[in-house]
Amino acid sequence: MTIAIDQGFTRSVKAIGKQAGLELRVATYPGVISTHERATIAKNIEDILVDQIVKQLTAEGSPDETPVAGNDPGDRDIVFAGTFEEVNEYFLRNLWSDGLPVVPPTLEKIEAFLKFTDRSPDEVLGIMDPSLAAGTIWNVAVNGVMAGCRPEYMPVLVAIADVMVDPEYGLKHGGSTPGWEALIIVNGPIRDQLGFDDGQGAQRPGNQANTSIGRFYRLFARNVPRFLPGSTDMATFGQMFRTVLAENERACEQIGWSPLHVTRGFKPDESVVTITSVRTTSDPFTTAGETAERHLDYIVDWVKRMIEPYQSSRGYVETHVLQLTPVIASLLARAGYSKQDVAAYLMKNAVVPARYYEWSMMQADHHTPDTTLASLVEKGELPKEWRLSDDPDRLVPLLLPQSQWLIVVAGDPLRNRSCIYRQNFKQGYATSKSVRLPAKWDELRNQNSA
Amino acid sequence: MSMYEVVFPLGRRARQAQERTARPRTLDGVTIGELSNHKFEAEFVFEAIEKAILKRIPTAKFVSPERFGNTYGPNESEVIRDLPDNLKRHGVDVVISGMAG
Repeated sequence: MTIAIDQGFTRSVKAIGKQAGLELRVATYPGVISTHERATIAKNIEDILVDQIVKQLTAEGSPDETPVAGNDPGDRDIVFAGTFEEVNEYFLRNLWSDGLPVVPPTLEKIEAFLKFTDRSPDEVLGIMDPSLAAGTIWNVAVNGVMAGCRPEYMPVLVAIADVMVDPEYGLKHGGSTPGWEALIIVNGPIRDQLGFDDGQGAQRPGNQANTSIGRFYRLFARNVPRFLPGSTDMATFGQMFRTVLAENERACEQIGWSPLHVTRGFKPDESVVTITSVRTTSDPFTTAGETAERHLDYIVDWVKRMIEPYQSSRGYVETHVLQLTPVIASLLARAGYSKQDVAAYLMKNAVVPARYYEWSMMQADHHTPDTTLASLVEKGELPKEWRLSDDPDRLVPLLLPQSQWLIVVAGDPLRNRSCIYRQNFKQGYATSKSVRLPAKWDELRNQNSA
Repeated sequence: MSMYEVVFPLGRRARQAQERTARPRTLDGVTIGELSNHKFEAEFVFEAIEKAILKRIPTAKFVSPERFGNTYGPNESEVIRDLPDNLKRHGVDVVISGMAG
């Protein structure tokens, strides 16, 4: 059985079990445990929790139920017929929508999407948590129709789903309380082929490729893994889906920088989707001056504002994103910095006083009260760099050495702004997949645009 | 007015839950495995639970979370992969998993 914090997480655990066809047994800790001191916790355990635990572990609890097999419709079964408004009303009632009008997923529309992949509609991309449902080429197409994508976006949608089913990405943590949202970064020839925008204001809604593909991610996450606020999605506040971030590869080429996908081991002419979780975005801060270090030092200052020590103190490896406008990237490149050099600068200089690090890591209940930096290093949970001395004013790194900075060039080419996307370690770990095109890609695209 | 015939947008469950082992009638002599994600004062909570259960059922036995590994740590996937064998190896009858929050 599981111990859940208060009613919200009890509901969530039961909802996850129900999706798997199981009645999960839960004991509910009364209240928000993080706001209780230990004397209160001990009393609540003695007076309330432990009797629930004993009941749930033994036959005293509710009778065991036989797991229920699913009886879902077949892929091509018509589940509803109606007008546009009636379809949308039906989808809203069944929690199949995202609150915006959906394009009705008819067989005709889905078939148009399926033309843009050589993979079988029945192909199972992976089993998705928490629903234990199969993500398939078919239901990628269904949700792509619904999101208002064009059929020719299908290869990108499949690449997104390929990321989502990769255990390395950690989608199963997609219902966690920070309420992270995916940032989808697109590289390669597909950017121009599908008309993605990478310039001024490109991350506002407006461009169909950037916007509808961003919408597809969240719609697919609701419908197939089945992350739903109020049950399996425990986002405290939640975020809107993000429009796709396409990198400005022309700018990269002009300054001699590799685009993101090349830095991650792909060929320049390969189209690639990289997805990473984003807890929050920084201010789109300005940096000024003619020297690279003046810009970099202020970027480092923002890194320190954005990243909390507790993450590295708990062994979390992070893949944050730094977005630079072309003018800032150009200045750094002229000074001799590559993307790798910029990342190394951030890692080296994102250091804070040990006293602050230790104070901050203890602010929420991430550690037992007797934890210190010294004890974490002694246990091998932090590298020795965190305790080169016992001077509380010594500087210690904010990030573990395995953490990465993904540097992307996009935005208004002539505005000196940058921003940081704070990532959530193994929850939405940066993962890249190739966009697999159908054999007749060019012919199909030309037919669609005729 | 146009009419639309639409299909199911959800995924179909691909794995079916298995029948579970019957629960014991009591915890007398039962071995309780503890799985911890080391969050929300989990160490303190498990210690308090052990004390409280042993007051009521002195013959209950516990296998502490350290035997299984952190279910949410850097090695989560290995911990989960090895769990069935580890539970068997330690003779665990029932499991308390914490903390969902």
